[in-house]
Amino acid sequence: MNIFKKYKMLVSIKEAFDNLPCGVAFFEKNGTPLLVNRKMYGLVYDLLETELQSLDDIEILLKVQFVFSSEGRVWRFERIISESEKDFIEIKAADVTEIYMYKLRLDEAVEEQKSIMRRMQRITRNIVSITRNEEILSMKMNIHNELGFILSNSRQFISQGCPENEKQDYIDLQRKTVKML
Amino acid sequence: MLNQSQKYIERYGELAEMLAAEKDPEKIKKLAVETDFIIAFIKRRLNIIFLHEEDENINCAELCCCIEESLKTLRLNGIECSCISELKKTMDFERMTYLYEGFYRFVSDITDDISSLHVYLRAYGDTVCILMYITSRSDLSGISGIQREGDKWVFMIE
Repeated sequence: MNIFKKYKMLVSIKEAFDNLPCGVAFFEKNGTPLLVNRKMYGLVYDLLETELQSLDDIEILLKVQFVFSSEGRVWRFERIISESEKDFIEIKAADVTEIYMYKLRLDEAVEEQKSIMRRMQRITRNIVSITRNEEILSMKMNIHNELGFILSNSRQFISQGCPENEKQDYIDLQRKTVKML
Repeated sequence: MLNQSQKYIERYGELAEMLAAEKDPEKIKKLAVETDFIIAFIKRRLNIIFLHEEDENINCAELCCCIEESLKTLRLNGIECSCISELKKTMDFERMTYLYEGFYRFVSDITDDISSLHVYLRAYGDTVCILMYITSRSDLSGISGIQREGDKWVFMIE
């Protein structure tokens, strides 16, 4: 292959690389840029307002899950771990706008589910509380009625002159009431 | 709830057992009246507790009902009784139970000796007191705080 053809091929590769819809950059192990496409340069300038000079410049973008460009798109920067990592470092910036939108909808759905769960728990607690209050009320009414009955019985026993043949029933009733209380 | 009435419930249990063991008809009647008196007290005291759960302050009329319930027992024993209150105010739970317990303790000690008991609920500063006029066959002067007014004994729970 002559030099001209080889040069033309390299230019074509570079052109194709620059036209990729995602940002791609290769760095030396010491952080010096080896190959950076147009999209990556544009993104770094848009997001950090600085030219991409070294790997350190975009470390901050690798630490966050999502970054938002001025044109309203959402990007994710990640370090591609591959065999070539031994020789150079590859960074990729992918347009994840749609994934981000799905994630937002998912977060909303999860939040709504949590809210429903909280409501259900509140309703369950209320049901328990209402049941308990009803039981307490029933117990109070039971005690009140029982004491009213024993009082009426007791007064009848006294007004009849405490008859000997009714004494045992009267005492049994008293013992039962004491036990209930 | 019932813990606050525990000592009275225990006394009620003791009275029931004393009744079971007693053979003398006169003593049986005396114990039955005492038992009835304590049942009325427990019932009405629990009522006050239940009312207190609904509201911090309780109408004075409730104390009059409590006393009236206890007086029904005394009437069974031939004692002439009344309870009069024209107060249209409320009082807190502690004050009401203090007055009703004071009334119960005082009256249960003298039940055997008295022939009449007239109870008045009177305003006492911001709150209420119980004033009792008693006719008794016995000398009650040994009771702390009791005073003589003509042929009546007067006792105040303040």
